[in-house]
Formats: sequence, C-alpha cells, structure tokens
Amino acid sequence: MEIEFSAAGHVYDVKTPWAARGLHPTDLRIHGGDRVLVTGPNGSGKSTMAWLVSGQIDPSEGSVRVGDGPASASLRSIGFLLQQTRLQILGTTVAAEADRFEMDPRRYELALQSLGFDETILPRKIDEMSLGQQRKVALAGLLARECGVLVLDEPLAGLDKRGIQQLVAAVGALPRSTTVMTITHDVDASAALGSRVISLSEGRVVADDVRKDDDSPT
Amino acid sequence: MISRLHLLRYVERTSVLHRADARTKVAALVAMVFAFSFNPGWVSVAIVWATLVLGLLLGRLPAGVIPKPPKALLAAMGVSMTFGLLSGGEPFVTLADNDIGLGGIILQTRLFAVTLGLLGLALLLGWTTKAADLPRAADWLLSPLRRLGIPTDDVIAALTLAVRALPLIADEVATVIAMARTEPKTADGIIGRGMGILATATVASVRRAGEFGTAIESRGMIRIPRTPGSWTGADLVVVAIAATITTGLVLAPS
Repeated sequence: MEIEFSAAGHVYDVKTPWAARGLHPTDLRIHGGDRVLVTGPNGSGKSTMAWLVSGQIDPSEGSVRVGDGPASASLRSIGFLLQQTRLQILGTTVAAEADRFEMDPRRYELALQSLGFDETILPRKIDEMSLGQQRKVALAGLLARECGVLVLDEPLAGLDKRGIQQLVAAVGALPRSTTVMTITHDVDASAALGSRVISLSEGRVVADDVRKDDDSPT
Repeated sequence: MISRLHLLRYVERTSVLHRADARTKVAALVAMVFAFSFNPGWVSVAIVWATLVLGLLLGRLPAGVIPKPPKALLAAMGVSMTFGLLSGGEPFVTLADNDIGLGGIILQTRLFAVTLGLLGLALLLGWTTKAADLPRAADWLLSPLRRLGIPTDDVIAALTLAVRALPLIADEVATVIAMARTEPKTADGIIGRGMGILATATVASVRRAGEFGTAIESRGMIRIPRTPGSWTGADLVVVAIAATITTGLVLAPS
C-alpha cells in the first residue's frame, strides 16, 4: 500500500492554549512495498508521523492517504507496533491473544515461530514476559494479520542480539507488497529494516536519502 | 481518533486567579463544593455556572480550554435522558392528547448540571494552579488533622502521586482504546473486548503505581516543603468572591 502525505501537518491540541506543533506541512510519498526508516532526535516529529500513518490521528492540515483513501479509513489494514507494547496486547496469555482473533490460528503460530517462539510460549502470561518478548508477541499478531502497512516504533529497543536478528528476519520475510515504516533513533542498528532514510528535525523533513550498501555498518 | 484529555493542565497567565496562592484557591473550592453539594437546587446550579463564567473571565482563559465531551459520554447522557423521560412524574405537559411527565428528565438534567458544575470548578482550579502547588495546598488544608493523629503525610503523598500519575494513565488508557480499534474483528465480542481494554488499562495503571512504589522505596517518602507561601491582594480578591458565592449557595432556595 502506498502512503502519501500532501501538505500534511499536525498541531496537537489545536485551538487550545496548549497547542503544540508536532509536524509542519509535509509532502512525502512512500511507494507500496518500500522499507523506510524515519529518524530524528526527540521531539522531531517521528511519532507524530507514525500516528498519522496509523490513522489514529487526523492531520490538522493537508491529508495523509494510505492506499486508496485517508489513513483513518484504513485502520484495520495498518499494523502499528507501539514502543509501549503492553498497551496493545489485550490478552492475558499468548494463547488468549491468539484465540481473540477470528483468523487461522496456524498463521499466528507461524508468525510466532518466525520470531523464535515454539508452542511452549502459548500458556505464558504476558505480564511475566520481558519487554522484548512482549514486543515479539505483539509483532506476531501484526504479521499474522497480513497488514498492507506496518509501522514499527523503535522495534529493536529492549531486544537482545538474537531477538534483533529474529525480528529483522521476520520483517524481511514479509511479502514485498507490505510497506514498512520503522521509527528509530539508531539508523545504523536498524539498517536491515530499510534502506530509505527520512530524517526529521523540529517537525520538518530535513533529509530523504537512500542508503547505499557500503553505508551499512560492517 | 485518539484524543487527549486535559486533566490538571495549567494555562500560563498572570491573572488575579493565577496570582492567588494555591492554598487560597483550594480552600475556596472546598468551601464552594461543600455548600453546593448540600444545596444543589436550581438556583445553586445557576450560581455555580455563573461562577464558572466569572472564573473564565477573571482568569483570562480562552474558550479553547473547555474540553470537548467524548462521544461515548454524550451517548450515555442521551440514554440516561431517555430513561428520565420515560420515568415521567410531575409536571405534566399535554402533547397531541398525551400527558407527558417531565419530572424524570428535569431531575436528570439537574443531576448533569450539578455534576458538570462540580467538574468545572475542579477544572478551573487546574487551569489556574500549577499541579506542583496542589500537594502543598492540601498539606496546609489538612494540617489540623495531624494533631488528631491522622497520617496526613501519607494522604498527601498518595495525593501527590495521584496528581502525577493521572495524566500518564489517562494517556495510556486512550492509547489502549485507540489500538483496540485497529484490531480485526475478534471472537470476544464487544463485552470481551471491553474487558480486555479494562484489564490492559488496569495493568498499565498498576505498573505506574509499581514504578512510584519502587521510587519511594529507593528515595524515601515524598516530603512536601512546608515553606509558607506569601499572601497577596489576589488572595483577598479570591476569598471575597468565594465567600460571597458560598454564602449565596448556602442561602439559595433548594
């Protein structure tokens, strides 16, 4: 699915005394199947861009289109992996999380396997898992949903080396039609998740480059 | 869409309400709320709503501070009003040869007016008072109870933590609800999904409480600075207004 920002900007709490700009009007096109890294310092607008693409907030100016319509009309085609992963897992155990969805359970199990879990994970309580494990469980749910767009907010934070390898491999194994936008502080560590790097600063896109292979860390 | 709640959000101004000490404003609020709670008649409702308008003007607060009610709340109010209408009661009006009792809906409307009035007074305090000043004000207000052996320090510590945690928890609950909306149709149904949201929101709240507990264990109990603030002419203005309003609320016909 293609993502297109047309002069899209966002002001939080617009028309209130607490109004704060998150993103200045931005024109941007991400083609279907692209793997993109969005980077920048704290407060640069990365998360605002992610929430706009996820369709959870409407731009206060311009428009954000995902596929054929506004992002907010495509909520269920867009997977959003939060940094605070626990907030998006409503099941109390991994099995309960699997049971909640009316979809082929095999697909969920395959997604879990691609992230290094076996069936022994199913009875585990979510709140007894590490942050990294919770993130992989949440990601498995998104992979199984076969979303057209996947937005990952700092997906590697809290993962060990093996966990990073598993996550990168799982994302890499997604169909080429899936667009993946990864929000990250560390472009080098996330290099395997995308070659196009969009840099933000103070709510503006300041660079939009494609990394060459020899830019990647050795 | 995900919406942000503006709980205890200060609006930077230099009005008389902003300059008044937090202790004065908290004491004024407590007096008005007590008087209103004991005499919540229509005249009292009018006095409180007029107080809110006066507060917005005196605090030089823009209309943008007034929160937009969530759709779910409006829907709940609509359902409640419908039941109020169905319950009937005096007075009656005749419409197309049918007697319709308005007693229930009038009572329901007054309940909403009282509730929103109380909420408005609390919001007015939040818009004009820095959240960090509230524990000191509460400490001053509760200090007489210390002599009776009531653990006011613990009460204040709990209040301080609640004030700090409330916006965080509200944000997290809004995120949980927002993320639940993106999920495909589940086998849970509406009730199951609602329970899931409630459980996740509870986990988020308990985790916050746990973090605060850990912080207290490592740094010790929160101590409220007992440095006395200074009273100014602004406090006198607030006391005079609050005394007039409280007297009006007490004397208003019920």
